[in-house]
Amino acid sequence: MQNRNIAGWLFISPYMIFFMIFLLIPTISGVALSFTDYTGYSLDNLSFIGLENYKVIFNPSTLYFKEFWGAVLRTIGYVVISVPLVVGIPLVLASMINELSEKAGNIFRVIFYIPTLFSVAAIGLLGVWFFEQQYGLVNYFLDVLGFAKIGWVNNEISSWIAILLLTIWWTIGGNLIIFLASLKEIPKGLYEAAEIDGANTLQKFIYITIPGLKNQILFTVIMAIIASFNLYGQPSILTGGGPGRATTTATMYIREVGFGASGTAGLAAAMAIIFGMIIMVVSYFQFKLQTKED
Amino acid sequence: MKKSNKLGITIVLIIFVLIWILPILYAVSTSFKSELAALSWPIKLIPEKFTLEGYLTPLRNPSAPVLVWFWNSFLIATIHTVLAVSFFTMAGYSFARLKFKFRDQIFAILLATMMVPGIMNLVPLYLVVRNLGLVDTKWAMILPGLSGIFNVFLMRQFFLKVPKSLEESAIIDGASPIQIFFKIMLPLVKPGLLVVAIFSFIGNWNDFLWPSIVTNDVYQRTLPVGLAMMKGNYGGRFNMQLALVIISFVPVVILFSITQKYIMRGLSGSSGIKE
Repeated sequence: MQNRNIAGWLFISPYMIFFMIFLLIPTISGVALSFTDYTGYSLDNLSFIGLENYKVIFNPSTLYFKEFWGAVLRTIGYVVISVPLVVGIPLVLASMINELSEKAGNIFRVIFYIPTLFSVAAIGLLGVWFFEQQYGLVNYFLDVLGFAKIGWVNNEISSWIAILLLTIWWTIGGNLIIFLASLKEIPKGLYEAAEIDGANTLQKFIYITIPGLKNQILFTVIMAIIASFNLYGQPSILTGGGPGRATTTATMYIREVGFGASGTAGLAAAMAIIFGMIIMVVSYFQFKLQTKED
Repeated sequence: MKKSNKLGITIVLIIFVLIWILPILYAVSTSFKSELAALSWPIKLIPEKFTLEGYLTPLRNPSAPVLVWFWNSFLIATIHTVLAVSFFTMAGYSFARLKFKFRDQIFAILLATMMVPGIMNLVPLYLVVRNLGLVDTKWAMILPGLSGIFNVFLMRQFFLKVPKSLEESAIIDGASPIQIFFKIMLPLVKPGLLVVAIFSFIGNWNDFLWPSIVTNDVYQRTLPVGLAMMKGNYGGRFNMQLALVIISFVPVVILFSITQKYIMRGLSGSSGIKE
């Protein structure tokens, strides 16, 4: 038994070393740094300034207040709009694909999955071309269909639509595969019985498909919430956070405050903690809400 | 299922599929056009004249060493994956099957830490990495990801599924924990190893925010960080931008087509794992 005790420690120790150095220690020191005037350059002359950073963040007369909470609200708005779409669209597509033969379904599945293989940087560069005003692909398709060209990244709303469309195109393949795999486990007999009882397509979707995929929907919603809160790469390449601050997300702003030339890394640490808390609270309530009926 | 219904579904799906596949075909095609042809209107699906200009010009540019970035990304992702699979597997096995003091307490700490959003670590992690002298080295992009908890959790689930009787009979035969791990357990969790390996590789290969923070030297950059710079360097030269996109895309597509079966299985299974 003693032998196994030592073996247990031996087997976890390489991992635990990395866990402590790169996760546990940073998490704890992040809290500590948020109470200091850490510049981001050097730890010399570091002094504890109590709640000063938090006071700045919660003081409506500062520019930091305006920009940080602006970025947070924008990010929350994006979460609210994008999560139903990146879960709902693949859910509907999956139940449609499920009606087809297995062979056709496999082809569709692979095609929808292909864009997920682009890295976020490649997606950003592709987006630059897709949404370019003069020579871009999206405006070309609009032109072919008889619509006017749009200056996508020139105003707030269309910039966000571009980011949203790009993200939907890029990511739904993963959720689609999760849903398709689980749809196969819902007995076909359920649908047949519902049809005999006169249920239409929408009713079958609401009363059979959605309850049947409950766990998968819970999982994909939580993953989508986390991913959307962390939105960074697409806007930072496609719009650069603009026009003005219109598409600057919380992660982009924290990065700017923490790693820019302003020497305000302590403030950024405090912002990251507040934003992190918001993510945790939202994820917690989402989880509670979705598992309530059990 | 009524016939008309099925036809309708097929038509809607085909429209969606076109939206998903056409942009990729157009991007590949435009990467083989000349700079001028890439800016022509209407956008042609088949280039009038194939040229490698889009690929060769960036490859010859010494201030944007694409091949160096490519090699950096490949090396970093490969070393990261080898270490990740080894350490995650050992830890997952230990948490699943070995009994040691404080095991459950340590595992509870891991699970609690998993709830902490990554953004909270960004500033302090940079401080740690800089104090270790790792800024502008490949280790800065290889090592921090080895702290990930999710994959340890995933491996633990795979080990928990292995019947206990196999291990017990080996213990009776006098096998040591190390022998049991390598000879009995590892071969049984091969699908898990592959899933963790593939996701570690792709995750690391695609990482963008962190490498852009820990690299200043242009020769230490990874492909995604380099690519992001190209919006400025090749602004409006879409054949070159798209060629770079394709260069970064091809290795992942190759990896995907070899391992497709396991990716699909891993994704399909990942949602059931919580139960």
